[in-house]
Amino acid sequence: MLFRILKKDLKRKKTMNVILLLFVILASMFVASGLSNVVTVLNGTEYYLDKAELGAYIIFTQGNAEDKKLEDILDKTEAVESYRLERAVYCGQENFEAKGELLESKGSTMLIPSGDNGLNYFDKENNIIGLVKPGHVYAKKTFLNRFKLEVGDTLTVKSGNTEKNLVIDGWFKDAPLGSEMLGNERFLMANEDFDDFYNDKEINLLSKGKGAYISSENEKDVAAAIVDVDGILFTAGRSLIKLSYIMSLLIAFIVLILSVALIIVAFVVLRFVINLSVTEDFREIGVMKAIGIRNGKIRGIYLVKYMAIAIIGTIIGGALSFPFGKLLIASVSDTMVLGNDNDIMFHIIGLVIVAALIGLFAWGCTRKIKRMSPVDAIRNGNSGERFKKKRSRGIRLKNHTERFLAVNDLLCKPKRYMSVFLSILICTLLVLTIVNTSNTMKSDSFAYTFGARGDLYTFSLKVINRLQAEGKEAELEYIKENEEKLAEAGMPCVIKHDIQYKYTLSFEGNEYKEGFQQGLQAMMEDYEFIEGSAPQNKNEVAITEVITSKTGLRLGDTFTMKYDDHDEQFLVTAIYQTMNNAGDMILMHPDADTDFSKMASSMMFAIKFTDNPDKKTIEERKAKVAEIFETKEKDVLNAEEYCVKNMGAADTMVAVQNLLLVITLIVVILVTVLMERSFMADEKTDIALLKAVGFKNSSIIRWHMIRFFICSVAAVVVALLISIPVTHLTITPIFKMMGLVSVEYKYNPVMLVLYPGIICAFTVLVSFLMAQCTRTIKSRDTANIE
Amino acid sequence: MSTILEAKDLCKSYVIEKRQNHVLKNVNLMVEEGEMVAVMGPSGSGKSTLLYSISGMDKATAGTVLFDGKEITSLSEKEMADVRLDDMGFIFQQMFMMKNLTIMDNILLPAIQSRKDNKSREEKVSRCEDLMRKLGIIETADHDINEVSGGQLQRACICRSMINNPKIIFADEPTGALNRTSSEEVIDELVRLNKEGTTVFMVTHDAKVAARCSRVIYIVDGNIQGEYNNTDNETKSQKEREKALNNWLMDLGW
Repeated sequence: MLFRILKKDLKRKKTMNVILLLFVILASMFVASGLSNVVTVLNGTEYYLDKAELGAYIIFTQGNAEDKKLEDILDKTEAVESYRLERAVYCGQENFEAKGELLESKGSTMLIPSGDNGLNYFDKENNIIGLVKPGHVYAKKTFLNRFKLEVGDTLTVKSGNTEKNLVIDGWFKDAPLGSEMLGNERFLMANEDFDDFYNDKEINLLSKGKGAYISSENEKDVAAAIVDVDGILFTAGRSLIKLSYIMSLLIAFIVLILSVALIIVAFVVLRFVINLSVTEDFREIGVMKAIGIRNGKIRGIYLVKYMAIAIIGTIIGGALSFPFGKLLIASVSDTMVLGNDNDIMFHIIGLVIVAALIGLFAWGCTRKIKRMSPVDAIRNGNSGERFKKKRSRGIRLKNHTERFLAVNDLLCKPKRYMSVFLSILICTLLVLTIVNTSNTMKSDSFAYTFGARGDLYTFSLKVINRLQAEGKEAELEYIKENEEKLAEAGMPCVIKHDIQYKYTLSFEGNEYKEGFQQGLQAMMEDYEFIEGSAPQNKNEVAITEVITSKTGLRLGDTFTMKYDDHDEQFLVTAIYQTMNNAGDMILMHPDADTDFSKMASSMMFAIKFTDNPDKKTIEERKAKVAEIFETKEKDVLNAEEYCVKNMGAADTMVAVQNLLLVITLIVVILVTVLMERSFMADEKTDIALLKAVGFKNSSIIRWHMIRFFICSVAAVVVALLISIPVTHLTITPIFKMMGLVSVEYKYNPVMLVLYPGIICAFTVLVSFLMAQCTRTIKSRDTANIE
Repeated sequence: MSTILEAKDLCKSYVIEKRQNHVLKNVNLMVEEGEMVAVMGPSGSGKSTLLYSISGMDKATAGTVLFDGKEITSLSEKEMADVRLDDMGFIFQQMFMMKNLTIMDNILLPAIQSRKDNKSREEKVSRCEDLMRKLGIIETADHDINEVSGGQLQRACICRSMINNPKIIFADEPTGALNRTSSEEVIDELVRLNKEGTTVFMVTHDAKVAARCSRVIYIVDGNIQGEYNNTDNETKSQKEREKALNNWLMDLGW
C-alpha cells in the first residue's frame, strides 16, 4: 500500500520531484568534482613534480670544462641519493627563426634532448613525451603564443655551423622551468638533432652545459655541497620550484574556491527544495494521519522517496562530475600536470557525502511530519491555532501591487529567498575577488617588487650579452650615453638597471649560494622595505623573509660574502620584499662591489623621466626609447605592461576571471530556473487566484521578476561591500608566499559595477523567461486546485 | 431591465484519455441586470464548467457569451483580465486568498490593481473598510488568513469580489465549505448585495441557498433541463420558498 502511495506521489508531484532530482544531480556533480579538485589543487605541485621525477634539487651549469667537477661533487656528497644529468645547449636571440622572421626570445634559452632521460616532460594532454622524432621539436606554450606559432609550423634553429628546420609537434610542460616566474624557454628535440648542436665545435663551450636533477632527503646539505661547483647558472630546491608555480596555483586555488562555493550553493538549494516539497505535502500527510497511518510509516514513505531520488541523482551526477571536474582543472593547468591518484575514490566519497546529506536533510525536514495534524489537510496547512504573524507590518499596500507582493513575499518568507540570495552572493563574491586580484596583477602595483621603479622599461638581449662581456664600467657608460641621448631628445631621465648575481655567503658556519640584486643607478626609495632601514653604504644589505627562513639571517646580523679573491662582511639593515626568484634574494647597495662575471640574469632597463610626463606623453616616448636602445617599440613597456609581463599569469587570470563569470552565470541560471520552478509549483493557487480576480500575465511576471531582482541586487551589493576585505583575507596569504608581505590592491570601479551588473541582469532575465511559464496557469485552475 | 449576460449555443468539451467529453451542449441562457441566478444540478452535470465558461475564466469550445453587450468569447487574455478586474467579482468555494497577505490587503489588492476610476489609495482603503464593516469583519482587517474563521474568510472573499463595484458576481458554491450558521451569514450578504443592484450568478448544491435566488436553472449532462422563476414567491416565507423549489427539483429528478 505504502509503495503504491509512493508510486502515485512520484507521478503526481512530477514537477517537484524532477526539480529535486535536478538539484541532487547538480549537488553530486559539484561535490564529487569539487572534492577531487580540492585534493588535486592542494597536492598540485607535489603531484606534478613527482610525475616529472624532478627530485629535491636542480642545478644548471654553463661551460663543460668543469663538468666533471659537478659530477664528482654529486658523487661524493652523502646527501645526494641519486641524480640525473641532462645536456643542454644555450642559445641567444639570434638563434631562432620562423616564417622568415627572427624570434627574439628573452632570457637564456636552452635546447634539450628527449633521449637523455633527464626528466619526464608532458604534452598538452598530460601524456609523457617519449622520444621526439628527428626533425621535430616541442616548445613552451608561452613561446608559441608570443610568436603566434602553431603545430606544424617550422622553427629554424641556427647555432655555430648547425642549422635545423624543425617541425613544431606541440607545446610541452616543463617541470623545473615551466612556471611563469622561472619561465626560461626550452626546446625539446630528438637526440640526433641535439647531438648535432652539442658536438658542433663552432658553438662556444660556455654555450653548452648540463642540468642535474638530484634526489635527496636533505636539500640544505645538497645546497651547501655544490657551492664550489663552477659555472653554476641556476640552482633551486624543490621548495623553490614549487613556489615558482604559485601563480598557477593561485589560479588553481580559484577552482578550489569555486568548487567549495558550488558545494555550498548546491546544499543550500537542496535543503530548501527538500523542505519545500515536504511542506507542500501537508494535505497528503494530514489525510494519512486522519486515516490512522503512524508518523513513522509516513516518514518512511518520504525517506524512501528522497533516498530513491538521491540514488538516481547521485549516479547521474557522479557520471557528469568526471568531465565537469576535468573541464575546471583543464582551464588552469596549462603549465602543470594536475591530478590525483585517487580521483575515482574522491568522486565516490563526494557522492556518498551527497547521498548521506540528502538522507540527513530528509530526516530533518520530515521531522515536521510529527507536527502536522489531520486539521492541516482540512485547513490548507494552517491549523488556525497559530497566531504567529507572518507578515512584516513595516510595509503597506500602496499603488504598485506587483512591487508590494514581491517585497511582502521576501519579508514573509525570508528563509525561502535566502537560498537565492546566498547562491548569488557566494558566486558574485568569488567573481569579485578574482576581478580584484586580476586588476591588481594587471596594474603597476608590483613594479617595485622586480627592481628599480621607472616610467618605461626596455630590454635588448644583444646589448646585455655585449655588456656582460665588457663589464660593469661599460654598462654604466652605456647608461650614461643613453641618458644623454634621451635628454637631447627632450626626455630627461635616469636609467636604472637591476642585475642579479650568484654569490656564496657564509653565516654561522654554513655556506649558501644566493641570489643578490643590485640596481645600478637605483635609489633605495625604489624598493619596498618592510622593516629596518634601507642600506646606506656599500656593506649593508636588505634581505627577504624567504632568505631569513632559509639561512637564519635576521635584521642586525652580519654575514661573510665570498668574493673570488677576498671575503667581506655585510650587515643586514632591512627586510624588503621582492618577487624576483620567488623572494629568494638579497638586495645590495648600488655601490657594493659586484662582478659581471657572476651575473645570473638582469631585469629590464628602468627609465625614470625627471620631467614628470603624463601617461600619454610616456606612451609617445616609447618609439624614441626603442630607437636609442636598439630594440622594437613593442619591447618598450610601461609600468603596467612590465608588471603583466613579469607576473606572467595576469593574462591567464583574465581568462580564468571570464571562465568564472561564465560558470557563475550558469549556476545563477540553474538556481534561478529551479527556484522559480519551485516557487511556481508552490504558488499555483496564488497565481490562479490573481488571474481570476483580473491580474494580467504581465503583472504576475513582474511580481516574480521583482523578487529575483531584489534578491540579486541585495546579494551583489553585499558581495561588493565585503569583496574588498575578502580579497585581502584570501589573496594576501597567497601573495605572501610569493614574497610579498604587503600588497596594494587596485580596484577597478568599472569592473566592480560591470560584473555584478551582468550577474544581476542575467538573474532578472532568466527569472523573466522562467516566469513566462506562469502563463500556463489559468484562472480556471482555481477549480482544479485541491 | 437589460440583459447583462447572455450565452448562445455555448459548448465546452474536454479530451480525457483521447475521448472527447462534451460537458456543455449548446447552452443558451440570459441573465438580466439585478437578477440573482442559481445553477443547480447533480455532480458532474457541468454547473461549474458553465460558470467558468460564461464568466470568461475558461474558453468555450463553441458558442458566444455576451457580457454587458460585449462578446467576451472573442476577447484576448489581456482584455478579459481587464473585464474580470473591473466588471466581475468572483467567490470560490475554497475561499482562496493570498497566503502572505492580511485580510485587508487581500481585499484591497484588486482595487489597487484596477485603473477603472481614478480613485486615490485613501478612497480605495475607505471603500474597503466600509465593505468590511458592512459584512462585519472590520476587526479582522490586520489578521492573517489563518487567524479567522471560514465564515469570516468567505465574507472577506465577498468583500474582495465587491471592491471594484462589479456589474456581476460569480460564485462557485460559496457556502459549500461552510457550516450552517456561516452559510446563512454569507448568503444573507449576497442577497443584500443583490438587493443593492449587483447581479449574482452562482452555482450551488444547496436548495436552501437557491431558494433565496430570483431564478434557478437546473442543468443535467450539460443541458439546461428547466428554469424556475422564484420572483412570484417573494412574499412567501423562506420555508415555503424552499418547499416549492424542492417540489420543482423533484419533478426534474433531483
